[in-house]
Amino acid sequence: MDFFEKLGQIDNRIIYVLFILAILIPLVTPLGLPVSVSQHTKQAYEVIDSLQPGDTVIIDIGISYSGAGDVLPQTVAMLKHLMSKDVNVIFTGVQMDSSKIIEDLIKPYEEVGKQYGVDFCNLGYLAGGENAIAAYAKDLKKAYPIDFRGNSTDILPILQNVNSVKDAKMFIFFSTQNADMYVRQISEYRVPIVGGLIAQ
Amino acid sequence: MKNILPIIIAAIVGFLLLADFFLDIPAIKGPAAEVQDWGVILAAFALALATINLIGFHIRQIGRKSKDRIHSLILIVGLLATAISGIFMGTDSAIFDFIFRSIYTSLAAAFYAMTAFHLASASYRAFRLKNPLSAALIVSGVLLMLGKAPIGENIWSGFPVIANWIMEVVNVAGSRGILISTAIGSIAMALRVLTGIDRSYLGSGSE
Repeated sequence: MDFFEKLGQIDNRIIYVLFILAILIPLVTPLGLPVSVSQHTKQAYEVIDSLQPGDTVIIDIGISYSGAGDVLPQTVAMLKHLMSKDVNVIFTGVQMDSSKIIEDLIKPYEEVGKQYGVDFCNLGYLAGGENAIAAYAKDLKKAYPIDFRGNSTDILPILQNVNSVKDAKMFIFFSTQNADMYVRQISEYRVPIVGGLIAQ
Repeated sequence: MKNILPIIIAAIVGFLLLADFFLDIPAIKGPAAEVQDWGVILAAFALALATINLIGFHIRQIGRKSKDRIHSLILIVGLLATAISGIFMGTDSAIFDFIFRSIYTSLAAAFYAMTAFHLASASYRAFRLKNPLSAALIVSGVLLMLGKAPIGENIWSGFPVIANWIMEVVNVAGSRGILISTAIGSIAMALRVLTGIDRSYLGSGSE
């Protein structure tokens, strides 16, 4: 058995130990390597930067807590950018954890004076996956008669001029699953689509 | 005869949604939206049904004194505690919040993180130089890792460029091929279901 064959049959436990070390060492003593920004990230930043105060966007939170470590930071960063530009945000969700995640996302902004129902709203989780996306994209208030907090969507000021995805300036999604279903169901409305996904 | 009605309903619903997606006919927009809303209601109902089924299965496991009955008991207690606290005390209540944040969230993240170890091990086994194809896998894998990790760009600024080229040209070409063939298969399958040739969803198999 030559060296490479032996290397190929190395015990899993050794790989796991090396893997733990590869995680722990930079965690304890950060290497300080600069993180580059990809072209796609720059494009997403620019398209959001082009929004005007008072514009309304829809953000679908398709995030489960299992993959939140991967997808949630980009959601937080993009929401911060949107809030800094006074863009109104309608949150929807197609994952069971969506409602709670959205509440966590908007809480810091409520504490600094942003108004629920005016600057943002949490429509909560809608069952049905891709079918749910198709349903709310067509008619938000019909798919969501009430929001996560129990308010009628008919009386929410943020929804007064938004009945479907085509009334929004942009559709943004964050998903721990895939992008296909969003692109399939939203592209017919001809609004810009921006997405953040889990690394797979 | 008892299969005819479900087949007719499936065909009408399927062709209605197809027509709504591909054609701009105002008259079918309303019915199509209505059908999609029914889909959402059915999905919610299916969740409730699945929960009842799950509880029933695990109660039977406990009744049979299965060797894994302790797991069944933990599942039922966890499910009921979460559901009862959420429904009767509200999702803002301290108990629901504790279950959600301190148990569910931590466990979900931990289980997902553990897959990284299996991925590392599987990658190590997969990256074996046996033939030209495995060599291509190793080279592209290493270049991608170097291109996507910050350390790669610090070694040589060309790594991200190569990684992006692999992702946007080679990877997209392969993915599109798979996607298109899957889509063609899905269309054929959908047509079989919509025309009633494939009746497996009724539990009766193809005829």
